[in-house]
Amino acid sequence: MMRGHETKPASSGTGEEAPGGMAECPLVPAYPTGRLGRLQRHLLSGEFDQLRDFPIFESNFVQVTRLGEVANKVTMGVAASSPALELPDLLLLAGPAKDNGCLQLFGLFPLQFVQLFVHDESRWQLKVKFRTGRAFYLQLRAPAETRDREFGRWVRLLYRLRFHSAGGAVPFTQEYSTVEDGEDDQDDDTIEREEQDLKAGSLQAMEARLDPQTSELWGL
Amino acid sequence: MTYAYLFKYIIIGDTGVGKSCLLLQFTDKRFQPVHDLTIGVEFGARMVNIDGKQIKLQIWDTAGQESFRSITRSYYRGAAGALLVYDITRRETFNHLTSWLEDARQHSSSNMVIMLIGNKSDLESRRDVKREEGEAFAREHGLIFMETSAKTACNVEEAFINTAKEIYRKIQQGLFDVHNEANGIKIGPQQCISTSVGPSASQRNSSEIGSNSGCC
Ligand SMILES: Nc1nc2c(ncn2[C@@H]2O[C@H](COP(=O)(O)OP(=O)(O)OP(=O)(O)O)[C@@H](O)[C@H]2O)c(=O)[nH]1
Ligand SMILES: [Mg+2]
Repeated sequence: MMRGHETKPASSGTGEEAPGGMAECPLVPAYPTGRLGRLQRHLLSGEFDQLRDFPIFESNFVQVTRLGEVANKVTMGVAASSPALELPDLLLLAGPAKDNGCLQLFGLFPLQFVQLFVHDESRWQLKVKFRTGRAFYLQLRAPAETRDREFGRWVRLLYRLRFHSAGGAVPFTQEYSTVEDGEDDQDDDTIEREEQDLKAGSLQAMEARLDPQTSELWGL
Repeated sequence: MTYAYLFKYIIIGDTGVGKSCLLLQFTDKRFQPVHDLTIGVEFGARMVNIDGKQIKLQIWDTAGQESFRSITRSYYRGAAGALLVYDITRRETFNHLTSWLEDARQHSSSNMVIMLIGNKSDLESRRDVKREEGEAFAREHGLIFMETSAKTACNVEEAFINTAKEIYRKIQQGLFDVHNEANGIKIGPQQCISTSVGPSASQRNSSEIGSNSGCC
């Protein structure tokens, strides 16, 4: 991910903002913001022409260590670079800027080079792993009433991406042979466990528990 | 934070030449000794002051590795400036410049200002590409040229800022249409368009100016 934003404790730079939210950028224009997330609003603010019209599914997270200690705030979204796509093809990561706490886009990553895992369902944690071996953990930040439902959408998304890619040109199963920098050591056991969970058929159970209607984006 | 203009930059060039390190040095004044291969695009932003004007640089650091190239190419569009980087200790990164340049010219505006950067100038003992070769390539293709070190920060500020100066100069000469999004320039949110554009403003179609501006 973006170095320098990665394992920083939340105290660095985000100190003054109100609990629970990033400072709203003064530059965000008065769009009808009804259901739009802050990442989408940020992209609509006019500085990112090319990304402006992407449909986005996004949530707010905190980055946590593998053991669950809280680090910095992250907004993660998936987007489709074309409205015709059946599934999103890009992962977007954003977080508070160091100087003013406004949301800032950190990176845009083709989903074919990223894997999403459920890290700890009971704590609404996902694991995001890049093909290069870099990985990090995100815990969903959402009101208690909607948290399970929102997490469920991410879970649904990650299975759909997985099924989709299994039939496509870049199956995730290639991953371990194409890790580029071999620095993946300490993460392997976690992944293996997650992979096994997945293969053990927990996924039907998971799918069954998800609320099928809710979001209009990619049927999440 | 207000600014007069926003310039979109892209950083392109082979994997490992130091693109992400240049960005990190410019935005955070830090050096990263480990190579974290970039996937897709990473973003950075910084304000600079050119001629008394605040300018926000929005920098798109792209992945150099071949397998990501077809994807990142699509994000060249709308860049006002490009840093085209090679590694002075690896000749092949210099040899690939033509192909990067072709890509850049094909996928972005013809006005885009391109700064050629020979990076890792701190590794003089391992130099594989002479400074004169970089200069000659730049001259031949109409690029600006600098050697930098993302490690020692030598010329890093200058590389980003000189590119901005050149873009700004082109705006003032009326070579850049700041109203055309495809040129990678945006006028800051508080700016009165008709007073800040430079000599070419008066030649521009007035209905366009009117419809574009919320102030004045
Ligand atoms: N000595 C020295 N090393 C450098 C310099 N710039 C970058 N490096 C090293 O070169 C390696 C690659 O740097 P990156 O900035 O990650 O390379 P990149 O161009 O972004 O590569 P991709 O993301 O794969 O396209 C890292 O190990 C850096 O530490 C420099 O100016 N001097
Ligand atoms: Mg890089």
